[in-house]
Amino acid sequence: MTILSKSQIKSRIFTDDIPKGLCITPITDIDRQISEGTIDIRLGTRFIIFKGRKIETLDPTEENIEERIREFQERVYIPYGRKFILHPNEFVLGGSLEYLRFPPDIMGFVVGRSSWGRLGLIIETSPIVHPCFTGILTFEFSNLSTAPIALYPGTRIAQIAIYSIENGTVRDCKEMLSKSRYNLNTSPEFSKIHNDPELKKIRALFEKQKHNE
Amino acid sequence: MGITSRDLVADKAFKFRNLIEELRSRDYYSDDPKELVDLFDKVATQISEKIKAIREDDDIGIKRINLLLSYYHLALDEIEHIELDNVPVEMLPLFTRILGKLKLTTILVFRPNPMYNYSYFPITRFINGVNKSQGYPEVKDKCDIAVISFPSSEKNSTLLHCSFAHEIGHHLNECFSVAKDIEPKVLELIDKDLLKKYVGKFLESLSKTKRVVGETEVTLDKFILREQMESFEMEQFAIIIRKWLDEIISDTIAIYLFGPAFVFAITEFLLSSQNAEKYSETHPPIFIRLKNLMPLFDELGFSKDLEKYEGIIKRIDYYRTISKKTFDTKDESISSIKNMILERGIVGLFEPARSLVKARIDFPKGICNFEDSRHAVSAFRNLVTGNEILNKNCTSRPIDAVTILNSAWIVRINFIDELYRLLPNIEKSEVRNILDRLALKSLELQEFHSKMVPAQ
Repeated sequence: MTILSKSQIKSRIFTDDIPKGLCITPITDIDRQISEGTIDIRLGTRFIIFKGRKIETLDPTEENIEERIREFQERVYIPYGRKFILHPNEFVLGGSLEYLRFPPDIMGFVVGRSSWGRLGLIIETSPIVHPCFTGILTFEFSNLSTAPIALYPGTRIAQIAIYSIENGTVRDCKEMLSKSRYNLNTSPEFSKIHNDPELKKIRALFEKQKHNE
Repeated sequence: MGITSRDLVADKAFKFRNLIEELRSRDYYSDDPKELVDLFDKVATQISEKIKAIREDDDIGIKRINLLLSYYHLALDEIEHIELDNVPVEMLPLFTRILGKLKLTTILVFRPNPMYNYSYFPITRFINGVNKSQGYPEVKDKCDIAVISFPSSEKNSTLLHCSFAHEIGHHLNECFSVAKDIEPKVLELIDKDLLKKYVGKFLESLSKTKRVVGETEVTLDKFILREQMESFEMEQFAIIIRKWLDEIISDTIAIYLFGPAFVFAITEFLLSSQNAEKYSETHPPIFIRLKNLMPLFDELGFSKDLEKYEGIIKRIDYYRTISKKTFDTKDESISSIKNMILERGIVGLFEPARSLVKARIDFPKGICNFEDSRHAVSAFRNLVTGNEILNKNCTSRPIDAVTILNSAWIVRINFIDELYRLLPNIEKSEVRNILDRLALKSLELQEFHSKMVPAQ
């Protein structure tokens, strides 16, 4: 894997060939948004907050876990110009303002901006952006500070390091788009862990055990 | 002592006030619904003062307040279903811009409607009308508030929401007094010969109904004067035609605001729930609405702009076929004659309505930029938001919101099979839903881009 230079990133963005190009939109100030090897990503307007009062545990093997996750999480909209207050030890999901589409030969790693990190904000716990990824990024935010942190939609919150996959086989993105559970989202998405095949198997085992008892 | 009528009304007013307080504590998509709550707050204060001042034995005064409260409750219901996450907020800046360009300060509040319908409710005018009828002062506010509702089950259907243009059309129709100035023509356009025939048929049907007065059998038509009947029926037809005129004017305004996207949205929405000839006393049938819209579609150049999209041309041809339907028939049944009177009346108003809409309202130039639309269409076809154009010199500019919506419609009609093929493992309804989401996100990004890089 090779990290792309600023000019390489630009040339992948400013191309007419959408399927082969790197799409990151909107581009409002190219020189501020793109640095050597990285692209800054801004915070979107949609969040998912957690309300655990009715939930005992989140057990991904539970039969109706999808429904329970939705009971546990709530969507919130914060317009531009307003702030979202993240309290100490609070955990929320946010989304990138930017909509992205990665070509089959490029992948990215998301990291929080250190300026936010120094305030105690932890961003993103699953940083890989796979080739063919299409949609907005979902961020996982935690406030490790002792003071509440104000988050403003539209501000630069994270960056993606852009890598090209050398000698990578150009795969067909069709399958990735259709099967990947977090593709084509335009706002942060609830967890879909219940779709994990190994969890389904574990659930079946539990049920079998129960039946035998 | 006991509980008096005044006490009961005071209880009702107290509950009204409590409901307002509860509504005030909710999270809304913006401050606009809170303006509406403020309006109700003023009304509640007004009512409380009246109740304090009224004597216990003033039965008429108490009944009047009770009636007012019933109307206010009806209006308050408009805000009941507005919650943070069930309004397509990304579309709203577009409507604010439209009103701003026309120098209108009305606040439009959007609310999901449990009924499958789009509608427009000028709430400040309604409350002031009710107050006036009961001899109460008008509620003064910094600007008018109108509520636009949409079917809650379609809250994520960005493309169908192009029908909002029609509801905004109702508002512009009121603000620029379009219908009001055409209404005098309504009576002229009622076909007098057909009306005579209609009344004749009506009386004929009555003559079959016999009554016995004393020992004599008489037919009911003897008691009815033909002239009185004609004038009464003429007014009944005029009432319907005036209501239809409002709809036709709102459609006309909507096509100037949203272009083809409006025509696609309204037709798809209406045809999904009714056939082309069905009408009500408030809304003309779809074929009559298309009869008005299709010539405008051509006049504004949309047919030419869209000619390279085969699927769109087919769709437009289908609309034209519908628009050629008519109620004109040789059948002389009473319902056929009624339909003919209504059709002739409203069709005769198309031209005056169009001329007045054009003369009164200074629409923004260039409804949809079909050159920019190519870029947005191409983006949507690749499952990317269609909100900006990238230039070779590494700069970019946003595509305007109406063009984005029209482009998404082009993809929905012309390239949807291509999207199905691109996402073979996803249900077709979900693919259409993805396009709706992309269109909405495009509007958000377009708005953000425009704010960050103001137009030179």
